[in-house]
Amino acid sequence: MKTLIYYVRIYMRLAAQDIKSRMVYKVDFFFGFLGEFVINVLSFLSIVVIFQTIPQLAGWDYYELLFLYGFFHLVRMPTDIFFDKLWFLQNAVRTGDFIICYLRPLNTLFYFISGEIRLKNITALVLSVFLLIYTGNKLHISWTFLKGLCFFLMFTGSALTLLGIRIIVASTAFWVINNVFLMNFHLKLYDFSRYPISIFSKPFRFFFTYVLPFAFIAYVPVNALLKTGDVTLSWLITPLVGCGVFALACLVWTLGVRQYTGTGT
Amino acid sequence: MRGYIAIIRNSLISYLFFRAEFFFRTLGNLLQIFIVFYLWKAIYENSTSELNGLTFLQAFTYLSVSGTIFVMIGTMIDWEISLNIMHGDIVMILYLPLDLHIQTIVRAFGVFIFRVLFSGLPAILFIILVFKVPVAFGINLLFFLVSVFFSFLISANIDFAIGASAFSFESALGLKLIKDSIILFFSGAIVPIPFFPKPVQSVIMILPFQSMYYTPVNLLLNRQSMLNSLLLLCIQAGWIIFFVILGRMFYRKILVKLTISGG
Repeated sequence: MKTLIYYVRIYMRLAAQDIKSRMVYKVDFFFGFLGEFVINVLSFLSIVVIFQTIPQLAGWDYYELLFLYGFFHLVRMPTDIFFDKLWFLQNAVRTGDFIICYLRPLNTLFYFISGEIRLKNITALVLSVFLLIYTGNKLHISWTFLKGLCFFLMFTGSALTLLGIRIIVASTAFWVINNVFLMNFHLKLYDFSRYPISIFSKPFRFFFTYVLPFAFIAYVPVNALLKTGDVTLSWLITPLVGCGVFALACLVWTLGVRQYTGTGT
Repeated sequence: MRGYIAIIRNSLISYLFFRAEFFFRTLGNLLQIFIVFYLWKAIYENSTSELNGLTFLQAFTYLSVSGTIFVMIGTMIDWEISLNIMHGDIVMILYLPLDLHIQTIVRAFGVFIFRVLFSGLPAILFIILVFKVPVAFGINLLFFLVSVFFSFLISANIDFAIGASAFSFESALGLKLIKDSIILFFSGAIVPIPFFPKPVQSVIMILPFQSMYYTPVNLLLNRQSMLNSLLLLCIQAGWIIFFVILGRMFYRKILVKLTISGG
């Protein structure tokens, strides 16, 4: 039985190598950070500009919407920083590089993703934490220990939902090989979780709540915190959905890995 | 000339090969149109008619058509060039007895035609028919197509300049991301220009980006005087010339500084 510490130590080693190899291209490394910064600030500014004109959007005021926005970006951080390698799964499957994961006495998913760590996303991490603290203050949320704990559980559930969806979409590479279009397509669906889902019409709301659980990535937990006030049992739905989606993702990954045959080289 | 036509054909055919990709891209664009629709419907929810001089339908049309134009005129030139330079493949392209600059733009043109025919125009028809957008039919449709083509030339030449600058920046990938979000934001493709504060608006008007998006949409939706339409197109042409010159300058630099490891 391999312990957690064992995995963490291996991860540190692999991540250190990746960071070193990225630092070789210094200017590019810098531009990665700068790019993340500019992109995030601009998309944040578009909300600011819209709220110059209107006082509220579908019953959500300025600070509430910024809180939702910050929460969404914080939720995507674990996936974007530690699981970025999933974008290259189709490449690894096609070229046969993926076979190396079978030759390590480690979990295949763990070994595959640990070769890459996206430090540039730390920019977005800092920005979203700052935004959450700032807007959280303005909204005067009355924190209790229970509330904080449940909110943390909901955050974990949201992060697992997003990660699970990413793993499932990436895993399609095991069957269809070239799945870049699917990866790009599912990125667009995130827009359905960045805004209050109440702005969309019924079919969309139904679809993104019960079929593809994008509503649980940001809207449901933030809505619970800002609009219901007290902790209720419904707060536990998000963590449950997160665990469910992640379990499903692990299953899909395992099935994919089991039927992958390599390229014969 | 025949060489360039062959390149257009090749890029068209190789693009036709990725049908699933095309299908999902189109589906993604349609979803984006719906998102814009519902978001802006919510924004206009509490206002009786106009915000900043735009009705809901005007704002929606403006944004959705801009989004479609973004899909049509976007190129991968900067990405390709920086990748080619990193891997050294650029030598193979330089071997051809064709100008690298024209060659690259012409290759992107093949993809552009494909996107206009199978992605852009259907999406615009979709917007007009499903959301009942009033469009002026007449000579302005021709101006619209010319204007989209000009926007493509501006976009392609910006991308070429950025790709060519990959020589000083090892890779242009980071730069491409910055460029895309800056262009989208400052062209008013995400939030219409009238929504910006006045000082920002005047900055936006000086920048070339609004002429890539605002001009074609304007020509599609509003019946303008012939003179005004031609003037708008001339401004676009001016920006094309500006970015062609910029791209050529960087291209000169490439030829002088290019060193490929191993060959």
